[in-house]
Amino acid sequence: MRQPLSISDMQEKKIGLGEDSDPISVCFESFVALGVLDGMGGAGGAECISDFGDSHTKAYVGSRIIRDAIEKQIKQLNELPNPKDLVDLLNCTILTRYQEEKEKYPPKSKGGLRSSLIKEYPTTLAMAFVSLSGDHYNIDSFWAGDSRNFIWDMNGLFQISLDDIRGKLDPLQNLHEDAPMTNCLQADAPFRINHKRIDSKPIVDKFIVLSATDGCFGYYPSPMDFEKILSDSLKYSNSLNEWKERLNEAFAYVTADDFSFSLAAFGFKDFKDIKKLLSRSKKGSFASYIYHRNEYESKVRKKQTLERELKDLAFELEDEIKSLWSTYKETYLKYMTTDEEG
Amino acid sequence: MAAQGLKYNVDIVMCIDCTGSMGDLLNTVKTNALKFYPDLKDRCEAKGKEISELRIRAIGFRDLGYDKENAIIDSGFLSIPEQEEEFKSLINSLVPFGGGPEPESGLETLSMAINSDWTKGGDKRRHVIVVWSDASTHALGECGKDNPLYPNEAPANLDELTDWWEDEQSAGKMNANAKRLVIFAPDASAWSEIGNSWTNTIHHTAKAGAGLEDVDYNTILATIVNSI
Repeated sequence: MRQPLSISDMQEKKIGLGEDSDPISVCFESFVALGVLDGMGGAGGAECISDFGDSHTKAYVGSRIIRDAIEKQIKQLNELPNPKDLVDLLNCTILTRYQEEKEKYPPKSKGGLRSSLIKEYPTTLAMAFVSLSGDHYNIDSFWAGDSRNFIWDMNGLFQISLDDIRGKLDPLQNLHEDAPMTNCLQADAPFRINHKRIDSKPIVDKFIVLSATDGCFGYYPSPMDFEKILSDSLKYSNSLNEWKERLNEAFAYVTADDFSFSLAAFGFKDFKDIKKLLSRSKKGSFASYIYHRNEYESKVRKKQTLERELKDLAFELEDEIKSLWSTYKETYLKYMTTDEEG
Repeated sequence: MAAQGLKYNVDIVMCIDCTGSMGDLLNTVKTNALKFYPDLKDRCEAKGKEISELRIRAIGFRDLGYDKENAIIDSGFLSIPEQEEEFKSLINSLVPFGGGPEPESGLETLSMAINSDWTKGGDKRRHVIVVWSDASTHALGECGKDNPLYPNEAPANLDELTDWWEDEQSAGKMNANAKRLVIFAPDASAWSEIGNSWTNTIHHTAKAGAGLEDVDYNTILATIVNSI
């Protein structure tokens, strides 16, 4: 397989406290593996002793130890197993690593606390594997929790994982409802790794596969806005590295969370080729939405400018009143201040 | 894109057992109640989440059957920091007396808390109930129904109260995503049943938070804050 163009990064909202691990990006001749893990700070907020010291949370530790174990395991593969065997392999790798951690650092009791909210080393996982099979690519999406995998091609952005959340909320509804997660990797209870094989793509196709944590996509008004950020950042970049920096800036600007992503572009000659094909989405509905969003944002900017101008004018007026009054008052009360009362 | 600066609206309802058996422990509870929301706020800010609106409701409770007009003291929701002094004043006014023998009116008070007029504003919300008690609870409807302070809409039994907490679709009163219940109460009826079976609940199984270790307190705060 021709090596794809790839970028990946992770940024912590608060340095040293981030619960996303570094992303996974492994490129072999026969397959490519991308992945992200987001330690769950609510469920894994208890601090624990680990190789990282004694002041990190189980969420922090969980995402990192599982990430390293998975990456190590993938790097030992000669070829990609079929999806079912891959799920078994991931399960086995994760459970073994959790067991090692618990043996090395036996968990303290939960103290006097009793709660199903508290989990051991909880983390999400989203992984995408792209492998070559004859003249086609196979794309396999694996996930547990609410981190996501995407395909992005000339027809638009497509989510290829479904969040493990309560209720049947679609991705837009969940942006506003923030539904509780029903499944994640954890050391003290069963979990499930979901799988979806995406229709194989001809080797001549050009497409991007992306894994991302919710810090990347979870703070926009809609999934379309996430696609817009991907497109806009690409449009204004002149290199793969600049695109990465622009993505980082864009995610950091909106998110209230750590974020991490891993992306690989298949079939493209170079960065210019990606830009040419993907900086403008071909989805008609998307273009219409973007038109309305731009209109709205333009009016919001005008309103903000006007508000700033009004505020400045109000201050100026206040100063003018004070300045004018100092001369005006000299005569204004002249009939009242010349003689003593009575 | 205007998603930066998300608005986090947080409501906290504190249910505090003020019966005679609380004794000196009530002073510790009052201290903990007063530091709970600054700690929560600090924890939010440390995670880069600034609380836009914070409201607190304090409900002191005793025994609706035994204490008559002193059975319930309810502040209603107070906006913080605007009404902070009012909140502090109410907390400081709580003194331990009455209640008679166990059990106490903890469930009726919890039903009042669940039935609160929770905030619907903000981009993200957290609705938190914290209960401090050293005693088991009366079964709902068992005691004090003739007391004018007995909540008008109180559920008939624990199953119905459970529906108020769990069933967002029909009988439920709570937003499934926003709700958190923290119970500092002994392993006694009905706190144990609630701690074992209700979702989004943390139960510290000691009398009114006695002996609560820092590590457990930090875990509780993290569980409330980090998942917003």
